[in-house]
Amino acid sequence: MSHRCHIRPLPLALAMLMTASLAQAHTTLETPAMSEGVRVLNNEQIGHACGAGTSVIGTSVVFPDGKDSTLLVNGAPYNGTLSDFISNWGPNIQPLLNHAVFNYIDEKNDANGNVVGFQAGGGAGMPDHMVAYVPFRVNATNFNPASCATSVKFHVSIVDICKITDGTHIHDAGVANFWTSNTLSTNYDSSSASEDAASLTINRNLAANPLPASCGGVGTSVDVRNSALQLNRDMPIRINGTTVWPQP
Amino acid sequence: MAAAVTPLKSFALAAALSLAVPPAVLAHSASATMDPAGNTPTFTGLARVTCFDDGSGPPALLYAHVRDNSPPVNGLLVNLQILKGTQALSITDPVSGDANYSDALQLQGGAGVYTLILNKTATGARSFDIEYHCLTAAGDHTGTDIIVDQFK
Repeated sequence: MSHRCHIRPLPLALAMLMTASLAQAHTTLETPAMSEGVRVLNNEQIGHACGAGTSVIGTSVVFPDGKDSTLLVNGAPYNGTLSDFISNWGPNIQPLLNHAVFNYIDEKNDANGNVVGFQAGGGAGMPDHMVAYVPFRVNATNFNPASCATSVKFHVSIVDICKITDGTHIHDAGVANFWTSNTLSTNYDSSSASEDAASLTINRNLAANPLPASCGGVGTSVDVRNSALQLNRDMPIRINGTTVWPQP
Repeated sequence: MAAAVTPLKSFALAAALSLAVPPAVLAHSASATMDPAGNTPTFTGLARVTCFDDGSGPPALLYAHVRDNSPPVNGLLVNLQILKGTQALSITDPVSGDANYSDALQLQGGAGVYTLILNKTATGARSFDIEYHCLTAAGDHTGTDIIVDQFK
């Protein structure tokens, strides 16, 4: 009998602990790292909403386009271009049609029609205690054979929206979660003290694409972040040319 | 202070009312109009096609052809070129406005990134379709992706 008294509260305590733990989960990518030269199915993994009683009703995801992105090589600023390291970044993503979480999903495109991100929304959305996947594909990405880079980490900016507001209120409590960098000086920056952007790392296939001799056998790591210009342009959700978030 | 909040249903309504807008580039085919204003003889489309093994087999070549859909204009034709490494091929659709594509280009460049260039011979708008596929040595379709770098 005494065992029952001690055991029964345990599942409840564990459940509460797990719930608390899940509530802290960032929005990330299901598969945060992949190899060069392969296509991978992936998911934006929404970890929670904006507090008890709220739901994520929309999400906006922006990948660095590599045109005016900020680059670091081994942590130091780099003034060259992404093509010094990657030979085919478009960005190489494609959202996949799926209405499991949101009624609507579509690409974000640059002026040439390349996909720079995606946006989804509509429907009941995702309650705070749940986790949701928004699917997309990462196309095959190749390293520049002449570079010394062995990994390139793309910092992916994501905003999960719980209430639609104008731009002056998007950081109000219970309105949205910002899984973004905190150093870009945009209205979409995370207010956290830490880097909150999701990440996608492409690792060089050293068997198929070995480092050139000039690297001396030493590889470098590259970090790629959105420019402020790109984030301000691509983060808003526009449908048929009309901005629906943030509201004008 | 209360936030300026729009009811959740507004997002759903906006989404429901949205119409699908075809992207400029679809899977392994593209349709567009070069020089829509008809005043740019230098109008050029530039893209990179990545051939990779998607499980169907290692790529051996990039296959591509083009079709000029605009009415015939004397001296105004559409050209397609493929480049990779030290190899290049080009082709012209010799008859504008018919149902036929140009002859197909097949550049044997293996896996990797191919450059694809589309241009025309004179000033004038040209509506076109292009198809491109990475193929294995056995002729099976394998991994094919495209990035458009320029269309102006």
